[in-house]
Amino acid sequence: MSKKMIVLKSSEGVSFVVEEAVARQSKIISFLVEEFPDRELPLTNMTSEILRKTIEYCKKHVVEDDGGGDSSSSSSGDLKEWDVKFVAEIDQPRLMDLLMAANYLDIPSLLDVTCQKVADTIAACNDEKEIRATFNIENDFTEEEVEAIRMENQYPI
Amino acid sequence: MPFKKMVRELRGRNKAVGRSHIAPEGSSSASPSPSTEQSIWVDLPPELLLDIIRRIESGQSLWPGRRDVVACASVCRSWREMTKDEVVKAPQLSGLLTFPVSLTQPGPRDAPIQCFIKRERATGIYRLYLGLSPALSGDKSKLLLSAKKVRRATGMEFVVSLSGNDFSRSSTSYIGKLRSNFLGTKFTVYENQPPPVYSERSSNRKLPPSMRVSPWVSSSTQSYNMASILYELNVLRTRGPRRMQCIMNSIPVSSIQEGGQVHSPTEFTNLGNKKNKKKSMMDFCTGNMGGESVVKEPLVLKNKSPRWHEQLQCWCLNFKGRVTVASVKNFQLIAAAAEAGKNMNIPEEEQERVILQFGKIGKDIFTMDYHYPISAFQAFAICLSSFDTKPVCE
Repeated sequence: MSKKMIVLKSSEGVSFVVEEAVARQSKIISFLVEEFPDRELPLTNMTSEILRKTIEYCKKHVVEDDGGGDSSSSSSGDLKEWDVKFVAEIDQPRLMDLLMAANYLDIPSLLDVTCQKVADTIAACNDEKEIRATFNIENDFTEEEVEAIRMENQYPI
Repeated sequence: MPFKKMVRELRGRNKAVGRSHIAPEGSSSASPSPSTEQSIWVDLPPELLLDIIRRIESGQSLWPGRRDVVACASVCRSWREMTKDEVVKAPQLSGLLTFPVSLTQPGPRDAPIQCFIKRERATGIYRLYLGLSPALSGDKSKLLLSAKKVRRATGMEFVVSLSGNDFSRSSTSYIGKLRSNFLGTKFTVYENQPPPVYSERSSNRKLPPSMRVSPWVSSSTQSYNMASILYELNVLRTRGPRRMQCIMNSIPVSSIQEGGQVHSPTEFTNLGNKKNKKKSMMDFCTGNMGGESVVKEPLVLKNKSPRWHEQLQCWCLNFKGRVTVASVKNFQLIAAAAEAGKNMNIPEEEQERVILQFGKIGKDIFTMDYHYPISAFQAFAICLSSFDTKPVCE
């Protein structure tokens, strides 16, 4: 009767106990749970903060999936809204960490919302300088390339 | 790979049950916190960057929104490569103009790229905009190319530039020119790019970019005779439709055959680019220096003959609503494949397809719709020739 629980461990060594159904939204964890039952799974490249966020996302989504059936259409709209709010509350560096976590753990729906949020953030920037500043990206162009880029950017008048 | 490492670690622990707490604890505390302020983009897998840029690109198919895509290509090297090589497709495939170089690439095959031209009589400047008409596109119309008319002793010259006001020949925005003979019956289009090099039977396969000749070999930027436009002399001086013919020296007639291809530059060569330099070095070594600028069998375009309309008492062509004012300048160009077509195996509908149409819609406003295999620059140059008054041709 009692739900099976598994233990995930962050890079700081903090353990998180989650229901198996929640954790199984990650294809990687799904695989590991089958390969290594009853082990705690060390996620050495994820901080506690990011792992907590990821679990929060998975919990929300597993609840909605369980409650499925007829009400799924209305709840999927609510879920979308929740997703938007969820990524909106995350600041820039954490968003990138979460994106990497979603990619690493292979959680397609979380990867989708985080990628979309990053794309929207880029599109909201006025120019490439703002994009570089927002995401802390180094400008590594040579002088020649800068000239070509200058022309491309003056071109839409 | 961290995932493999994790599996290995777990496997190891499986064997040594009981020590599970010792090994991972040590390894995790030894590794520093991964979330420092160092840019995470360095570690971002390329497929994720590709996904993100694709999302931006597919969301913005219209200008000025498409500036976001250009901005992505201006952030850093990896973004630029991703945007230019992977995300943005040539106009032939996407029907979209994104970077300046797409103005010298062939247009799409199915639907035309629709543009309009505004003439400024006082300054002799002609501007090509992307969009259906000034009324529909308004202030959002995107300027593609500009041309300035200059009177020379031997005839007229139009200097074509990417910029709206810089018509200097030495500027990086200089694209090419159109020059007329004294009578205004023959025009030559020069493109400020090295000519495409076609090897034998090359028209049926995609040319690698290395087939181009770069200005690295001849340090001065060369231009080449890309097309000739001929207006038939009307010796009888009867009023009637003009007859024109365009010989596209850079486009082989085979390009409009089934599965035919046409050379499509991927980069402006007058702007330094490391990749180009390497390639031109290769060209130099393989003796690929001059390049025949005239393809063996160039594509020839001719204007579609209008029909005489008895009721309206004028010559008519079906512009499908894109041209509204009668003018001697209006024309539709189709492939003059009548002779070549028989032995070149060009499908009939291809022979009837309008490749370029140009016509008046208001005072000093004209529409220009172009198709594969010609580029926006070639189309604009051909249209400009129609602006030059030719009393001997009418």
